[in-house]
Amino acid sequence: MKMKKLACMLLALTMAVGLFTGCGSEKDSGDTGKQDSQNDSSQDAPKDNTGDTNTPEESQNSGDDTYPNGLSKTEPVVLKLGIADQGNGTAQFDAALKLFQSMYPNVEIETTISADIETIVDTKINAGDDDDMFDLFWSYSRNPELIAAGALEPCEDIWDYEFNDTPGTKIRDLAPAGLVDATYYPGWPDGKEHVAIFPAMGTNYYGFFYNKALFEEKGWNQDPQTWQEFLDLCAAIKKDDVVPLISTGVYSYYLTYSLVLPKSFELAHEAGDIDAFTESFQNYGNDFYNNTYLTETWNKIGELGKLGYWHTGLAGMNHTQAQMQVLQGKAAMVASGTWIGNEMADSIPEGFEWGYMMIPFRETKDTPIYIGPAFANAGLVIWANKPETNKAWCKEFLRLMCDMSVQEGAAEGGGIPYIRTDFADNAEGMGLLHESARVSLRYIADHECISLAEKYKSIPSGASLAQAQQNYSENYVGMMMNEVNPETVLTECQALLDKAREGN
Amino acid sequence: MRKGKKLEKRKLGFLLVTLVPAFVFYIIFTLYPNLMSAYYSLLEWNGIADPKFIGLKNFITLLTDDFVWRGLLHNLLIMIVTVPITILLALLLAFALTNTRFRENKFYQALFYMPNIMPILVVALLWSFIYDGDMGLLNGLLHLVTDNFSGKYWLADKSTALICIMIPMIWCNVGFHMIIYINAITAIPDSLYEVATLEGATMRQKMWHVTVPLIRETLITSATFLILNAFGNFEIVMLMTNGGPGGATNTLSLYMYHLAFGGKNEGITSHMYGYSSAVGIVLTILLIIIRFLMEKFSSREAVQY
Repeated sequence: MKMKKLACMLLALTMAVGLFTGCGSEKDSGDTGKQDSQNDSSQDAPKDNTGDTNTPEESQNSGDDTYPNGLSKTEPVVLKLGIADQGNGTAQFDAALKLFQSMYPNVEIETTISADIETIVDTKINAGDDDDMFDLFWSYSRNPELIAAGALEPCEDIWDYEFNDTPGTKIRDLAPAGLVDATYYPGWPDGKEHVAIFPAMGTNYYGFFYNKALFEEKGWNQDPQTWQEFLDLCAAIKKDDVVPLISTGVYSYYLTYSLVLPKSFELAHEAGDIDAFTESFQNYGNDFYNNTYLTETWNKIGELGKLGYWHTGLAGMNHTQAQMQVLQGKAAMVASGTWIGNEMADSIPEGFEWGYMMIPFRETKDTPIYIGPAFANAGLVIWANKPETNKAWCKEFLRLMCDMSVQEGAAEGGGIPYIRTDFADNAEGMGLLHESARVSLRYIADHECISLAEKYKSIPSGASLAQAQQNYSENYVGMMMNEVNPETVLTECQALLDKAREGN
Repeated sequence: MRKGKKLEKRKLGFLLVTLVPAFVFYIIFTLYPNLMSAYYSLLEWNGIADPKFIGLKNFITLLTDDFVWRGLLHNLLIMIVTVPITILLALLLAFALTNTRFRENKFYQALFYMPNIMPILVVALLWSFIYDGDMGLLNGLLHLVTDNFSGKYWLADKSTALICIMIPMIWCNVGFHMIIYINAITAIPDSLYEVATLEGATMRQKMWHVTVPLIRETLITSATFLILNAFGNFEIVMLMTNGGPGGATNTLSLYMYHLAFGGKNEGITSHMYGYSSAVGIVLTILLIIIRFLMEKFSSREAVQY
């Protein structure tokens, strides 16, 4: 009997101790590599990353205690990496992690992969524990807030790093035209522009994707140059009993970056008002919502709805359902990104060929076509409040992601467009790229395009801003289908934003 | 006497060892976050910049926020529809499975319980495709009897979207509550049913006059869980419609989530932890009131058999 009671007590005690042990902090769990590197944060700061011209083999065999990039070979470092598993998958990281750990065995990388990595990141940010925070992580929706708070590490110096596998050539030297400028972001505490998201993950673009084979079979115009030509195309498609346009109505950002944002800038450009419009946009100005170009953009989108060119069921469709409509030939064009070929790889029917276009809102061919880049708003960022050593290694990881072998792995495994122009000369590499990425890059090369990233210099705060954003996104479908007057919605949103601007 | 005291001490020791860890976990993972949430509700804070104390301003804003009232209305509708239907279906299934002697009863139990263990993402995708206007199962079935709904996108229509969200909510919960009821029903002595049979009671009468009164406490607990679920569950709404079309399915908890974590699916948006916490506090108070009302208006007579 006594033994039985003793056993019960011991069991309860063991369970209690076990539970507490499970909640023990990382500091107690013997993660000495991380502790060491943080206690000695300044000791091994990078010396001159731009001068590293060594191959991986040379890096490993340089003889002394430091790699040619100036970082220690002997100091154990643990990097925490937060990866988003989205349309492109994680193939590029598989290639990069394998190569990185073979080159730098003293650096351990702890990887967290999640389709919703942003929520995990948010939780870590709110916890306020820099030790627990990721060193390098995928970030998107709150980048402006992070930049404004100085929470991210400026990364523009990586543009001047040399490729690991192409010594003597800086990364910026092989960057596609306009890419370097597109990555600079305003709104930093020092008032200057810096790079927060280094686009090592490739150059994805938003736009409209279609079945090229179907367009050729029907004789539809694959390259409308003006708004009127685009309307004519939609009329021709509708005449053939196919719905011309579709976009997910559940996730409004697809339409934002494929159409709303770049086209409002395109119209401002055409009117010769691009600078004033950009300034107001980036500062959440007093005509952020209620301005001529955004109103005109929505009027045009609504006109497409009025003419019956948008799919009537889009309000309840997620992006997969919307994309399926195009694969099945029921809709002609879908708003999506260059990753669509990878995302829908298992569902693509025989004979289907990807085509890509940006819808022109311009009236004449003289204005450049504005295009929405995914890479400028979303990608890997470095947490500023980490030891210098860790940040330097994060930058090394980003540099390594630019290696041709990693880029090829990314192209093959995830359909990710390259960030180095010599990839385009590499026929074998180009052959690995998914067709959806290839056609979008071809379109951009064949047209005078301007990449328009969503950038903010200052953001108001307060509940009224959240209400404005909620009201705006909720009315997307209504405005698309011409059921709601865009002017009314934009005026309401502006009134709420103005309250936020006034601090209410 | 000494032996009695010793026993008391041992009992106390055992209780401490077993209860203290649970209580500590309750403080860390329930009480502390709720108290912190109450504190956050008095701040203007995006989680990164320095928090600004603004007193009750968030609560004042909340009173005039149409999105809050609309979300609350949707939650109430979800509660009014899903709670009784779930209980009724679960009860019917439980009663049927306990009053039949089919060999495959265990299989049916597992089958009905399965939706409850399916990942919510799978449930949302499954039902999104069922409601699809083009290739959906629902339209396929309706097509057998009428062509009136051909090509109808159920989630895209403001008048049908909310009810379409409720159906998978019911589907997911029925199995779980059925299991609870089966356990409660099997504890009822067979003699009571035998007496009812001798008295000439039908199956329906047995269910309403024997089973239901005797598992009343279980039903009330079950209803409490379902009400909490109706107000707190936002994942399925987020995955199926994200609150659309035009806010027709947006609930208070989804609005709260969007305020806290930004509308990631809307692009770059702001994070309002202070305001979101204020919404959360109101939701908590509301649930406490509902619980209190349930206690107050449900009879406290214990059932003995």
